[in-house]
Amino acid sequence: MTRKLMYALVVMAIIGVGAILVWKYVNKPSKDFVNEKIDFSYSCKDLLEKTSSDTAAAAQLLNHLVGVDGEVINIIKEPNALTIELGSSSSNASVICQIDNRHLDDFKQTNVGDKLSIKGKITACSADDELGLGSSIQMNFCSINK
Amino acid sequence: MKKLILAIALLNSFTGYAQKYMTKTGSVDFSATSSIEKIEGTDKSVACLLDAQTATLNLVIQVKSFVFEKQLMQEHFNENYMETDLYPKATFRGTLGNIKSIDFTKDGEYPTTTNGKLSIHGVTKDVQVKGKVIVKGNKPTLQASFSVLLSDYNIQIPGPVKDKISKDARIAVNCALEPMK
Repeated sequence: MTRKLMYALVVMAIIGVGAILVWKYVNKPSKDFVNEKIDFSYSCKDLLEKTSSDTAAAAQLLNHLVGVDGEVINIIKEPNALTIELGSSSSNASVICQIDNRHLDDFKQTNVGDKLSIKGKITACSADDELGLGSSIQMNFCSINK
Repeated sequence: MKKLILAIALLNSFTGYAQKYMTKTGSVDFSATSSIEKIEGTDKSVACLLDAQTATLNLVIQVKSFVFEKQLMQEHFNENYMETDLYPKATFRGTLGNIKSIDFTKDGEYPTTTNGKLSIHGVTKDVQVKGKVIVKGNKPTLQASFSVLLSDYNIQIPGPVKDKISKDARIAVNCALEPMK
């Protein structure tokens, strides 16, 4: 085997490995937080009280993985999607959890009125003085908080 | 018989009283798919309030709540294109055109046109959106689908990925509303 051919093979191998790494990086699926440790844990009531009375505290929670214990007040089932609202029937304030579609099966038996512990990444804390629908906290990539 | 008429009148007055409808779990799908790449995100935590008496319709979308399949897409959407730390919300404030033709007590599908102001990425534009109101069991569901030019909202697509992202984004709204308590 000539030296030139050797070089060509090495260069091709490097390009090939590089292309695979780039492809993997670009197509990496969204992070699954199911086995991640939570940063904070709250009851639904405490979390809603904390974020509605203290905007600085609310801002600090953004982008953190938080565990929330609460009562299921609403379930919206769609093909390959599930949204669960935690709160209480006596208040409009609620925590809205977009369930990670890799973990929909874990919520198959969930019904309104159940007590659940859900973890997810906080994407918004809204006092919602705009529409008067009550304050809300939004979490995505949610799963059962084991 | 008089009692029956009175009961029906009373019931009608109660159903007519539910003039406002709301949800905090409405859905917005976003697609800027091009011939090269599928770019789709969904937000299932959209707040929507419809006042059936004044025909006003308000939507508030927390942009960071959009979920994408790919991690890099999610990061680029938030950091490079929508700049969600600077502009966390997108809103629509408008009026439902033919509210009087919608019977919120009668099951059916009612076409409608909504005029209003759409604010995305800190830019507000007048828009007209065609959609429909589907009434089932005294509960309306709003459905609409429309396109926005990304450049209209000052959303810049960098040169290297220009061909991968469609210049206009398709937005589909689906809000199943409940009478407001």
